[in-house]
Amino acid sequence: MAIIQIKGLQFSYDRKHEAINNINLNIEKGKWVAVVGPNGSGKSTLAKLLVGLLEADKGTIFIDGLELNQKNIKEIRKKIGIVFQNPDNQFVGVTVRHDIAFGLENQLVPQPEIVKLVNEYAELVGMKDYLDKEPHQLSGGEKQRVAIAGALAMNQEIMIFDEATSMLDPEGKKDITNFIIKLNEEFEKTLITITHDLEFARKADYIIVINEGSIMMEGIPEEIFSQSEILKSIDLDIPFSLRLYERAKKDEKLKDNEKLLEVLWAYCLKM
Amino acid sequence: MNNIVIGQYIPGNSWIYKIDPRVKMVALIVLMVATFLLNSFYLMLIMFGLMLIMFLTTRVPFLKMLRGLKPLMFLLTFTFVIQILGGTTSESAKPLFTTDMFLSASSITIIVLITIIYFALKKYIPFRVIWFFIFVFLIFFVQAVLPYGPAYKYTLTIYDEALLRTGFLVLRIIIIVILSSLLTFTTMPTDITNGIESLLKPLKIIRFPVSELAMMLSLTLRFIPTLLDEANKIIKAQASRGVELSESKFKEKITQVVSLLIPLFVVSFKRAEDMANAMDVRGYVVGANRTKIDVMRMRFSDYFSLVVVLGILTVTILLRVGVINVPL
Amino acid sequence: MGILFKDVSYAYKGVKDDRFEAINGINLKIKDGEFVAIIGKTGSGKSTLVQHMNALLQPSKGTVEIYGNILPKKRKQKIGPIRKHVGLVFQFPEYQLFEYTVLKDIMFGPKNFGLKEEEAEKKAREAAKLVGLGDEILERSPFRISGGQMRRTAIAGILAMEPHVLVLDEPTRGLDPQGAKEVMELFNKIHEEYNKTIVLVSHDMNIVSKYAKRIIVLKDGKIVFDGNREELFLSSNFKDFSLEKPLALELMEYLSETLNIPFKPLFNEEDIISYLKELDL
Repeated sequence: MAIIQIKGLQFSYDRKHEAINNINLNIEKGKWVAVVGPNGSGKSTLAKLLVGLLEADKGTIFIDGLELNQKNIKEIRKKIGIVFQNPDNQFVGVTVRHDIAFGLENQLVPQPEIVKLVNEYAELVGMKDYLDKEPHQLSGGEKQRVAIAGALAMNQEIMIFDEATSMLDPEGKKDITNFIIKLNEEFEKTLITITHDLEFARKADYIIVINEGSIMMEGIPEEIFSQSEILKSIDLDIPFSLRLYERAKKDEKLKDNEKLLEVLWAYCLKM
Repeated sequence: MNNIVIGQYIPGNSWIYKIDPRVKMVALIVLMVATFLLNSFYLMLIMFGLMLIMFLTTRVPFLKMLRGLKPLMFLLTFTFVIQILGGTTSESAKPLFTTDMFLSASSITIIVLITIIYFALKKYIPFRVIWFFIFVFLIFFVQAVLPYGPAYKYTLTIYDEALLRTGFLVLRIIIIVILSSLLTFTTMPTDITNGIESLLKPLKIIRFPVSELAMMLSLTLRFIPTLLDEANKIIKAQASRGVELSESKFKEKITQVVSLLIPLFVVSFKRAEDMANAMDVRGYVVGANRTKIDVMRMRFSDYFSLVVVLGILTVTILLRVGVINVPL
Repeated sequence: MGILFKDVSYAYKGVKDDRFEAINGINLKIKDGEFVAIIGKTGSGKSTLVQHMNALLQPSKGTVEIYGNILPKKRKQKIGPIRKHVGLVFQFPEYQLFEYTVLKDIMFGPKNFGLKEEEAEKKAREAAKLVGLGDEILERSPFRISGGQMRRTAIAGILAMEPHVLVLDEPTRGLDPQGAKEVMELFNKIHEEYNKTIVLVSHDMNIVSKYAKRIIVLKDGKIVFDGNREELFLSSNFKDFSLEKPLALELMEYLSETLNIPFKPLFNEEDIISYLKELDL
């Protein structure tokens, strides 16, 4: 059974135009799904609907068999967590320690257990030496690591990353990207990464392309990247290597060179 | 790049760091009350001695505490001067020193000169407090030794009582500064918040939102350095657009200040919205029960400190009420 | 005239009286019409260096000359007017917007530098056109437009001041690839059409290698490299600079290995395609 089942989802901010327009989607447990789309396509709205920050106008969302509604929201929030884009605006605790503990405190986890979990997960994300540091002493990447530790400590099956790397410097981006890969491979979490960066999306198991509130296309990265014309038409900047491949394919002289195209395509799919 | 740390906490590991924050806060209040109950200079001196000894055992850097007194220097000196000039109302007061003082043409001129020199050189003097004392002393000294020219003569008498009274007031202020410094230097802001939350817990019975207040306090603590950083960035960005408050005319200043305030507000509101969402998703429900990672446990040393402090309060009450009579 | 750094050092005074030198012994000359990139790890001193260029900071040691104005300044000298020469666009510049309308906000800078209302409005409209903001946006509140439009408004606000030099601190930070491309193309246009000097601070090696003609690398507060991109990326101590390689270069390395073709340092699509065609595989 799919761990996330979305049926007929519809949502509008202002009754004028649909932010989410009839989305149907199933996500299998343990899979890494990337949701891509241009600005304003509804990707963030979808994320907020999935964690219950917004209430759908029509349609249903089932998370691990439970329907997402006011009654179940507490249970649902134990199963699904989210890391937002702005590292500062989700850091609640006065120190790293307090921030990782925050979710656990809300769940009424007994104090000795909280201490144990905080130490365990701080170590896991490499922030053990920073437990007493305050957020303004940390870099963006370090703050996002703390956010990840906090979510891991809650032992949520599903983790959403809403443009979690777009405000970071390249070092931080690489760092968090590697963590996300680890989460999927080692921890077998179900991941949804929302991004406008196709370079990052191609690492996922499955890509969903959203435009103007509906799913435009979905499939494995190879399939999606072979539709570069459609991607360009909705203003999605395709990865550099893919652009080069496309140009070679269209070029009079190079298009018949099978070896070249093969090598370029392999590079596109390389991790 | 940021070296600001919230609060004035100075790390250390002497006995006072291990005392429960609630005990420290209660002790602060109790000792302040006791200090204000004292009504003689010599008793105040004893209290000062006690507090000083206690301070020294905590091994908190003395200089840092002295710095806390700097802003009060003016007030303390002013108090001293008023007391000295005020003479006395009691007959038992003994004059210690009398001199004629002259507000003469010559003395006033010199005083004006000295004032100008004081302010002009203030920036370049390293030990400003001493410079200030010299300045005040000279003002009086000059009046004593320059009677030349048309003058208004008055007599300055320093009574022993006035000195005792000043000493009493000054020592009292210093004791308060020592006590509050001790609290802020040795208690981390998070511990203070936890302490406040715990002490106010009984108010929950009358539905007072204690936990919510504590959450607000700790969120405030968490964001002060971040907001300072933010403000700094905005100041720099607007400076790059020509905002230089020290160099602009008054009318311009108003728009310029607005250019600093509005972005700060906008960024803060966005932040508040994002934070609320984040807290929501992480399971925070206003008013619901929560556990806490920080524990406060009372130990023997905590109870002992409480007993000592309450003991001091009791003694001062008895002294004040007259049950104990001590010839001081 | 340009900007001249002579043996400049700057030390931050930390709260605990810790002095650490953010930049040390900087000697640098930036001439009119250059397109320079300043790169280096976070904490290498880029921000500090660049804030000296428009007199936000004044050197602790050495002197900085900005279009004839020498810093550190003398007591009576006003620092405000100096900032007109070098326009600094900060990271996430949209945070500096505050006026009632977009137009008024763009006019803010010019007015602070002494321009009268009509003159400032004229410059503002020109700047708005340059960044691609339509007339209908000009009358709207800067808080009721899209993020991309906000950023362009902020940039127009600096352009309207008509500085000789544009210093851009991570102009593409937080933007999607499309937005990043548009912003860089805008600056490149300004550089080529109006011959404005551009100083670009960026972590993005792809952008740096694509647009910058001169690259300066900072490490631990000192300049460790000053030259063009080929010299940089092929230099023998490239590893010491802790920098990423541009995607185009990495692809070239990969192609030269797998296809057994001679390696050539190329930095954009067009060049790579042309090269591959030349090779006659």
